[in-house]
Amino acid sequence: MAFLTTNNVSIKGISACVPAKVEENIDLPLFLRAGEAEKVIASTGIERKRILAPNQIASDLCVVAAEKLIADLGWGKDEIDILIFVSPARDYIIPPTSSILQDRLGLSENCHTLDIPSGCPGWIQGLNVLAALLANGDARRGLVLAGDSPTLVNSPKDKETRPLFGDAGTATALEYSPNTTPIRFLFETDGKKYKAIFIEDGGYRNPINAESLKEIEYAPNVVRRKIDCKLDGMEVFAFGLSRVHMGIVKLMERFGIEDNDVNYYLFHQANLYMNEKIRKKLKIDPAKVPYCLRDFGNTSCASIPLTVITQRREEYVDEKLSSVACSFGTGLTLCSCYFSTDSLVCPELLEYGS
Amino acid sequence: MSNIEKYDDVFIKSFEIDGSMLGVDLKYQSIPTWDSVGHMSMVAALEDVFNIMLETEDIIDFSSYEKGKEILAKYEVEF
Repeated sequence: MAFLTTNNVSIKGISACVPAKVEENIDLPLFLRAGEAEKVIASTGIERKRILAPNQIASDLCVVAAEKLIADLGWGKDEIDILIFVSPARDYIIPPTSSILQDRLGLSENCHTLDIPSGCPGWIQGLNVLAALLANGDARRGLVLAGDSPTLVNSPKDKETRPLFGDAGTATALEYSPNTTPIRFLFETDGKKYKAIFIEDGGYRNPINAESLKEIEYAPNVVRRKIDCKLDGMEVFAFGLSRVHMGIVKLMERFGIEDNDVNYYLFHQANLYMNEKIRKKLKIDPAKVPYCLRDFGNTSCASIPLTVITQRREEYVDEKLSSVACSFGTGLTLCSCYFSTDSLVCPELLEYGS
Repeated sequence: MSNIEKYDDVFIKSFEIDGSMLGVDLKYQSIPTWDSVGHMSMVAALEDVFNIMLETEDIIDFSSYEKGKEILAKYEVEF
């Protein structure tokens, strides 16, 4: 595993944007038996998700989140030295979406732009990369735009994925701040399980072809194409239950962090049953573990900042807080981090579209 | 209700199956409703009914109706 520390960087603000359109799980046509939808909702904790309308994509949500955050921070756009776009849902294969976002946001041409094509674990990965780039003060301010559009790659006919995932975009602002509390990180990867969350066709290994577009019925109400995302629920479940709690334990042991030091544990919003199992293993007070699953589902790399904005916004705005965050998924990858914040700038949740 | 009746009832209600389907052939993904989400529902129901908390490896190893009985025996659920 990799333990990493970044000094001299603090998080200054977080914003989040979701599509206006709501999809209720209880109404999904995937559940044919009476009571099946209720059971899925009960075990996942997901009642509804926000879903993108046609012609909307993840970066659109991130732009809305970034514009509001930049304005509320009072930052000049020419003061933003680094922009990182974290998402598997890029605008095009080429170029990097961060290049496009530099122009859309009106940032300086001196801005350093990077894409990180990661899913659920991505917010912490982006936070780490940006913090490392800012740590010596050559660059002073940067943004991590983390967003995803899983509803665009999950088959609407697949009951194993469609009820779980929602769309969201976020922005997180970091600034060079000498002598601030270090940000601590842990990263692990189990690449042999890369097919656990997998889109088979459409990359360079398996270029898209006519077969890619054919619907295949794997089981009743599990119908998808090879360009749709396949989720091996049990593999992800096993990874989450066997490793995630240890990712938090090892981070805290390594850096001498006590439970009393932590105001909130911000878990990636996978599903309620798994997250609660992890919480109970760690013996964490439920009041320290906020969830936004019920109304937004699993929003991939946006889920941690979305949880902050929708569940604890006032606390992060008003108070000095210490947080442990943990994200896991695609890869399969596990990330955890510890950070402190003081009176974050957090606009209220933004909506995109009508 | 005996433990085996409680156990069977969880399977019948979680997977919405007839009691005649309970047996050696009932395995993970052998029926449409026993998918990963159904698995979570079933395990959660068993934990409630028997007031136990299954270990991670037992949740993952719980691959069939019969295997489940072996696993629950470790939690002092006698059949």
